[in-house]
Amino acid sequence: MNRKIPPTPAVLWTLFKTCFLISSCTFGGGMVIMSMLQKKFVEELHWIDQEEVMDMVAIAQSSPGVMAVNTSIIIGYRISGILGMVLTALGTVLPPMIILTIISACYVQFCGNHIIALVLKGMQAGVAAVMVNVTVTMCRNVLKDREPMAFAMLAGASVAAVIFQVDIIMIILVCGIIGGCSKTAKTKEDDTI
Amino acid sequence: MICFQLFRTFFLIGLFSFGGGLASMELIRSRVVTQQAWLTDSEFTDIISISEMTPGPLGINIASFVGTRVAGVPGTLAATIAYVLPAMLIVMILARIYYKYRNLDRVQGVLKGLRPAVAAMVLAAAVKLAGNAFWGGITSFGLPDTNWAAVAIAALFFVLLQKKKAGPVQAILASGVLGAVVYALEAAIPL
Repeated sequence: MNRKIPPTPAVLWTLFKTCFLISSCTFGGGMVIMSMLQKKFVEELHWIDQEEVMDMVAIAQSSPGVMAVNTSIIIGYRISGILGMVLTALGTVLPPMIILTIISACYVQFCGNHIIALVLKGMQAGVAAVMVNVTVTMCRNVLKDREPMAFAMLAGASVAAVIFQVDIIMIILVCGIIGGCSKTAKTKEDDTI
Repeated sequence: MICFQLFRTFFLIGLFSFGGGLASMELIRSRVVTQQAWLTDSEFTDIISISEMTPGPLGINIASFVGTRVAGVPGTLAATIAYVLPAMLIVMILARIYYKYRNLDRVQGVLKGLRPAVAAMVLAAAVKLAGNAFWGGITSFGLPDTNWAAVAIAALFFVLLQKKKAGPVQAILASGVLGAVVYALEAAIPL
């Protein structure tokens, strides 16, 4: 971290405010939030340069949790250390937290409404369609390199999850270990399973 | 006590949520619906719909919703903070490594291994959500009980998502409107 910005109250406030505003008016996935953060911190404020952002995205994607939160965390950490990190995380998390707390509190009344109940029932089909769509896209992505290893892992993990109801955390751990090992022992790649 | 349980559950979910919002649905479902029974299957699907309509990341939305339902505002705080905490720690460690060595090859290797697991997770979630929408739960699987309207709506939006590249938010919203009309008509004109 060679080009550190001094953590003045103004800088910290900008960090918090930017994340809060972006998070409260962004619908949709992490990549949308990502591009808005990039616009603000790279193009407007010039606090981070473009190549660094690409690496930040890689780090955000490598970490578990929500992509949008991870990206804001790493930007905060880069600019003002741990204090910045806490502030950007707070800014990103607060708006959805407040909104969902209110919705959660009114959920029973909300669903008691006849029309809303019908709409929600209709949406169950839409959610199913979205999930099937994501499944197809992801499986295609896993299989596109035509690696027998990836295919075997996908098939094994799917059977374990759907038919044998194996705990998801177990599946993630096993696949992560296999992935880490096959990276170190590339020659043994095919007989790991 | 219940807050501690929320904290523990969502810390674990946060730690193992790889691959973004929809990919971690099955993990969240397995803990929140199957293990702890904090929500029912259909409540869980409702929350996915609601989360897509409100701003902010899906995972945070679910943590906040479940936390509030189970234990009020303290529950919200426990669940949401627990969900974000593992990511904060790991991002911080990776950022330190990055600024020291500027090299993340090893991490990328593990990540590549995780991809099939993430895809399988999404597949499992898709199977369960579709079962819930079409048969009211995978256990009561039977052709006469099939909700054909739901199957038709899902098929329509699947095609739109695949071929027309429609956004998930628009697809879910539109399916809600279409579904409400179809179900209202079904109730009005008994077959």
